Amino acid sequence: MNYLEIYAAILNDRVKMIKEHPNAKQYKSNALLYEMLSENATSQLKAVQDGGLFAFSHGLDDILVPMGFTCFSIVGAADRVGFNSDAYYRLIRGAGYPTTICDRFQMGMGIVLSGHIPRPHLVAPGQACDVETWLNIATAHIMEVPYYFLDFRHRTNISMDHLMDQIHELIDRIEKEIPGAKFNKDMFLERRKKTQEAQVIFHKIGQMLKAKPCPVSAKDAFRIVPPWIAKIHPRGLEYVRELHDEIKDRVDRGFSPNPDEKLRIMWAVSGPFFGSLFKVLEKHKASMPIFMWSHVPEQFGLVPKCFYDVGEFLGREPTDLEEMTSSLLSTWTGPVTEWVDEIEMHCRELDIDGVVYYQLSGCPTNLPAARQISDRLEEELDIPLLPLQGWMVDKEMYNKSDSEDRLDAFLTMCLQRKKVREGSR
Amino acid sequence: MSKPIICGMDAGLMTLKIVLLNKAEIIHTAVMPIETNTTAEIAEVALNESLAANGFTQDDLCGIFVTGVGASEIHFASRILPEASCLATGVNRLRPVFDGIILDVGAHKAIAVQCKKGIPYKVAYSDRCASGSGLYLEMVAQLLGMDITEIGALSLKSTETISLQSSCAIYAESEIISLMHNRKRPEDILKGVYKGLAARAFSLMIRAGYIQGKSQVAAIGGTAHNIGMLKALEERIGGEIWVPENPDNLGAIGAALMGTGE
Repeated sequence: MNYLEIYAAILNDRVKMIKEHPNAKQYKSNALLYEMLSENATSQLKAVQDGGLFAFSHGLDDILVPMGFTCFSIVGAADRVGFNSDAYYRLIRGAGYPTTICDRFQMGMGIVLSGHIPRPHLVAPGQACDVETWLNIATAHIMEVPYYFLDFRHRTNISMDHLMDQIHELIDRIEKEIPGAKFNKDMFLERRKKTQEAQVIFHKIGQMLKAKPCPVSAKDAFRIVPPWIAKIHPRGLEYVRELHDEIKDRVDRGFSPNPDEKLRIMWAVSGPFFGSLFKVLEKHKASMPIFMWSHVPEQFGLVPKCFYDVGEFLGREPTDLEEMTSSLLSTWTGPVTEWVDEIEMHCRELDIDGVVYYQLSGCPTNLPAARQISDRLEEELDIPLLPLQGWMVDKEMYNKSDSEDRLDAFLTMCLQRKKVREGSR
Repeated sequence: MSKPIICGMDAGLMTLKIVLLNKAEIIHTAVMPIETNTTAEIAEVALNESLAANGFTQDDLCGIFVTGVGASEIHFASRILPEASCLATGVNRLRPVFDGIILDVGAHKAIAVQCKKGIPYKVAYSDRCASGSGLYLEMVAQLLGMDITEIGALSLKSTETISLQSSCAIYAESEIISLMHNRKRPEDILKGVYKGLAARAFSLMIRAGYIQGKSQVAAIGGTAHNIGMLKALEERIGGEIWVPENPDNLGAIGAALMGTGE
């Protein structure tokens, strides 16, 4: 078995299903999205089989691809292993790994131990939290390949300079140590340009999510991908434009998958990717304009650079490399104050009535943040937050009826509170 | 003549609570143990017995509104209602325009609901661990060879402070056995158990928005009968807790009232 082959086949099945059974409530552009992702997985595999440079990375592809590498994200793959998660859990639990760590770590390690992904030339985690960094370092040890580990933390002048120094050092060392690797600045700039173009379009999409009733189905809100889609496939920008036009058309027509919208919910952190809580949302006629899984504003949120402008930070026009480096510091692993601010801003802008905080068990960042976010939402917007104990792909740990009951009770309460809020205005 | 009777049920893990309303007046309440029956079987028996005891039949029923952990098993229910809203509605019926925290420590789980002017505002649930629930107390009573109804009063005779370190019922069991082997007195062990339970309940209340010294607290559910638990909770919060005259039926009352549209 090869992870990339299976993943490509699953995506092809999805494309077929979308084409054979079109659903007016879901984006037509999903077909193109899955086609691209499938082709990307297939071309990754081919590049590796042809003997090309191969790297495990998460966020450093902006550096590594222009150096000639095909990049694979173990943690990204860990989110998408529902098809084989039981086997991976058995494997890592049998190997004595802890069960109390997030399932991104557990699944990532499962993929590595299973041998379902080819051995890379190097491992270089970029935009990772501590747990993911250790996953990548452990991977490098298990697979006996070199790793390049960036040391970064919160966004300050010092950390910016420190990270820039490391990026330059990283390029120098890889060029020296990995035969055939050479940084291609033109390719780097071309990819940055595509990302920036996509970001502009995504910010326009973000504005359209304010429309009432919501033009996006909850399933599609979960499906939304960041602007990196524009740089991983030649048709990436075409997809982003198609998505934009599709949503604009819906807004212009007043179309909504939930025309009798009574509530607007934000889903945060993660989701039960094997289960379905959508029926509970439908029962309460609750729309879900946005799934906040990371630092959305800087990626594809409502306001570009709403909390951070690297040019303003540096006091001059940033270089492309500085902009890219700055984006590495935009990660869920940073101070929770950024999460708190961003979630509050999005709830305010999108007129959200409640936040479902599907906390990723074993995650040291999102678990403590729940309390602060809850307090802020209560104080500033008078809306509640539901913390749900969550696992992305661990069906054994997931309690379906418990989750459904709690969501059901929460949405009932959100509606009652909404009526009180509206009555007091 | 329209059908006058509305039935509310709260299906817990150990007991089923039933309430009949006649034109919004409570005319009947009962608590029935589930034991080895299915929840649906007990619900049907409870319904028929309750109706007959008041001279009604199922033809007089306007609807059956259910809540609780076993609600989905009652296949003949008109509607399943969320527990937090039912508890808030039930408590609000007894103490109108309730502002404060409702704490329900049932056999299966614990839930804290913050109410503002009778409306549920924030809910916090215990985790899946049994050590925050009534089942845990059942297990402790069994270990000590006592009946669940005896342990609350006995804990009040404690003279030695014992802290149980375990936050898990399974580990707590072995810790209690060790304490028994060390010849610790049952009343002191029980006091430690209640202290631990109260600490967990307090944390739950905080998550639901409890403010020490400001929020009033209503204790309902099975453990609201337990004087040991109540005293430990009052010591933890440094204030008094209100316990309704019949703390078991609030969920069922709330379900029935929500069925009337209240």
